[in-house]
Amino acid sequence: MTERGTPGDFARWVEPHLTVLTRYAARQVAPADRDDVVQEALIRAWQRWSTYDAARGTPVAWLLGIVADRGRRHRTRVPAGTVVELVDQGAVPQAGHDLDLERAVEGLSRRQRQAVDLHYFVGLDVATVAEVMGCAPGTVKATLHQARARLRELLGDDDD
Amino acid sequence: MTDLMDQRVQAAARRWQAEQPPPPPIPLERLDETLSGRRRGPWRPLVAAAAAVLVVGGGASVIAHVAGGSTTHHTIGPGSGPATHGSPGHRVVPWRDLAAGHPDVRHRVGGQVVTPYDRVSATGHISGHAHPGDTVVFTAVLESSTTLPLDPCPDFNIAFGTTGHTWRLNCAQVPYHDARGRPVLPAFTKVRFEMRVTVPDEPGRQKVLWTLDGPHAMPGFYGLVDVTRAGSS
Repeated sequence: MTERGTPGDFARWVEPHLTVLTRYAARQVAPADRDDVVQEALIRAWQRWSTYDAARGTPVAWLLGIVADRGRRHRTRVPAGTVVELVDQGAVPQAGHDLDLERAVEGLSRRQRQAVDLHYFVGLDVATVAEVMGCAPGTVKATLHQARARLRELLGDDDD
Repeated sequence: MTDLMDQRVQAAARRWQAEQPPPPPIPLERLDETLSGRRRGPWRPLVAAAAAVLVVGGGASVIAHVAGGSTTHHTIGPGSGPATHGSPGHRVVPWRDLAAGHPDVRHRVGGQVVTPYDRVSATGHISGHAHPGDTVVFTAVLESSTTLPLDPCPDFNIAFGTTGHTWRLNCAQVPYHDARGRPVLPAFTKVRFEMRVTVPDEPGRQKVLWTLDGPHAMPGFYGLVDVTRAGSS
């Protein structure tokens, strides 16, 4: 268990993980809601900080679990049809965007999508992904392998 | 064996990461806030409802006019400040009666006049009943698709019926700053500003229009308030 420190101590503790937490939130909710989810997760993490047990996992895995929970709550409490996204009229897809792939990722199973999001988009190594997903690293590797196979299928790209 | 799909996903992920706006600040001022994880109603309609608040009489009570027409009464005690009303979990930049600074925010790009606020959205909800002389209090929510320094601090207008006035935004109390210490609207973050306007003696249904002040179509929103003189029904 962690001795609860000051808000400044907490800020220094979470700061190295902020980019990863924000990326994971961005994979779960609409862009306009990303920062709300991150900040709610940080508030929840501060309130539960004393329960964090280093023997049971790394800080980043513990924090990502809280982000996942807040993202889930956020999605369930925003009824469909009430979210109005800020549309940037001047924005056009930039050259090099793999829109087909981005669409195909959405077609993965929940576990495959989670593994792909955490490993590729959030940028975690397999061991940390396993910690967040609550499984063995070998299971993550297998899930990623299956996800890539499914993406090849969805994209009609079976020849590599 | 080279996994081409692995390379393809890695490339897409790198592009996605590079395009992400910077993380939001750690909300040090909100850490002990009670989160609404077991909130029963939807979040956003609650924001809209809470944003429409009319202060009646001497400020002894507040009547919140909900969009659907139902009315809720709250009592505010001595010392109740305006800085924390609005939706739970969201600090509101308090109202300050600041004289307009009239900053010139125009730039010309390829013959077009542009301003730093062209990628800002402004939302809010104004509705209800009031008497001439009452103070209408509402919240203007600004959100930018890029992190935007509020330097110079912009002005805004509130037109109530045929009466209009321009003030400077209370940038000094915006809780977000860049590395140079300037107040900013962080990308994709809603920043809420408390607004106040005195109801003019113009009975009838009046349009209340809020806009950022600028050279052409600036972000804004409006609502309707029914103004009745005291004693009339």
